[in-house]
Amino acid sequence: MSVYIFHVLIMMGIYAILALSLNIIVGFAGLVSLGHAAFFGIGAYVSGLLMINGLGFPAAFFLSGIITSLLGLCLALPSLRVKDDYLAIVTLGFGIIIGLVFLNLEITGGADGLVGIPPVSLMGKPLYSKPGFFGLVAGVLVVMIVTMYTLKQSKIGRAWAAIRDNDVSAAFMGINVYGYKTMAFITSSFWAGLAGSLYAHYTAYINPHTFNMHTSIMVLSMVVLGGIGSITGSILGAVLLILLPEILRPLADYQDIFYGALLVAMMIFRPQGIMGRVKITEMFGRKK
Amino acid sequence: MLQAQGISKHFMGIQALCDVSIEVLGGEILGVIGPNGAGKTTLFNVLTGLFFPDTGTLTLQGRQITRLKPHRRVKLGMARTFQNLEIFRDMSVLENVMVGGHIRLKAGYWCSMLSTSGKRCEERLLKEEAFALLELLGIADKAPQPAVSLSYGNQRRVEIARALISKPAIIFLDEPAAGMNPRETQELSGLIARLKSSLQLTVVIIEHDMNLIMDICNRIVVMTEGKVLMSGTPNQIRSDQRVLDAYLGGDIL
Repeated sequence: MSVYIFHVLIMMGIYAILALSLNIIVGFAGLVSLGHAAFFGIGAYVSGLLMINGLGFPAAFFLSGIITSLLGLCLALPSLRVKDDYLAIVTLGFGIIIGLVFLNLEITGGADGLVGIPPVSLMGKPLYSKPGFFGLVAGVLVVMIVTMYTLKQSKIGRAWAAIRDNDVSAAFMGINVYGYKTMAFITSSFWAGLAGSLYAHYTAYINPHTFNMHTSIMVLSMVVLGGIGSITGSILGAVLLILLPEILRPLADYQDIFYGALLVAMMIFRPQGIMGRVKITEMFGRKK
Repeated sequence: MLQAQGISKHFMGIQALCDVSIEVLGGEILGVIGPNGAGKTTLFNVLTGLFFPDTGTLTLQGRQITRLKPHRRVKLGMARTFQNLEIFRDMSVLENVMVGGHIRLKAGYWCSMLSTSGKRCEERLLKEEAFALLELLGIADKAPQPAVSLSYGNQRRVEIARALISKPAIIFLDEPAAGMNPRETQELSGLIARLKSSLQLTVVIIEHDMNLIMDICNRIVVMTEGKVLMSGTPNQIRSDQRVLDAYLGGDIL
């Protein structure tokens, strides 16, 4: 039983990191991304492949974050020239392309996925215990929350908020709008990559299905449900959307209906999410 | 200080600016007046970089800035306010002003993330400065309020404070007195004149309130239909028949 509880806690932690990372793009900078699972996947595959090929854990972990953030940069440079709905389509396309790449490359194992990913090892000792792994996830999550909080309170957080609010005005405050949007993508994809790395070493097996659009939408739902821009909200969103399917397990066939109904109800009765201030409708509507 | 030479700009066949040349001298208050649709705000938008001109050149303190992005012009000492209030709606009054101080903060990405003592120190200093500016503009008591909750007149004050905190050399005020009552307008003219002398500011101002314009401007540029009709001192403008015909209607003054 306690093994099961720790399994759920670990999944909550990993998805909380992923939701928080998306919140940097969506909540802090006010952009849209419908392809976030791609970054999650890139982190997972990079870390898995690096460790299969003999690299140690901390190195593979950080490299997966760095390589994912480089891909975030590659996505940001062309796609941030468009905004709002157009950016949503571009990121959606990016997610689909990366999914197809995972599916078709030899090195990623195609549809079979990547098998036999080594477990996390710290100081030479493999970490098999679930509470131990949960401790690692929680540690990463805490570091992330602290850095997100300090960023939010700094000129960078204010610049993102200014861009989200009114990007014309932001430029006249001396803010390099394009640069700061790119910075949001890089920061976000770095943490999404780390979440992917944790996921890969936890499950020991990954396949392209985990990183498809369904996941992108689910992570976006966590952010929206919790409240766009709110750090606590994203964590709460991840906890809820991981917990619900577990609780609703007896109703397995109806799970998606319930899940969909919850989101619809949320949009009608509390569009700003559980914690947040920004309504999702304003993300598209208010910009002039 | 700022030279604009032969600036033209058209939108979908409408000629908004046609061969406009103006020069802003260092330390002066230059008024830009003219009937609605004369191209005053378009001129501001070209001077501050929201649009690039179709033809013509802009020089700021000897530097070519014709096609420089707005955020880089801010670093060269330009700041502006907007005719249609462009405050940050999700932020408090104080946060609005602090965003204006963006370029004055040195801390980069890592210092911001690690919240180093240097970063916290410069943030604190900027916050104090923001408070001081709000006090100068008479809205310090509203600092923690959401900026949208303020009246139009006070939102204009927030925009002025937000522009001033970047320590500009030249500031563009687009109808700063709109939405203010006569008493507030008078306070504003006093304030602009004081700021100009205490901060050695160069001010370019669009305003429909003739009392304010005539009170504080050293020189005035009159625009009609996308062209400069004439420029001169308030007294020259007041007595020029062309200006009266084009715009003032003879009996206003």
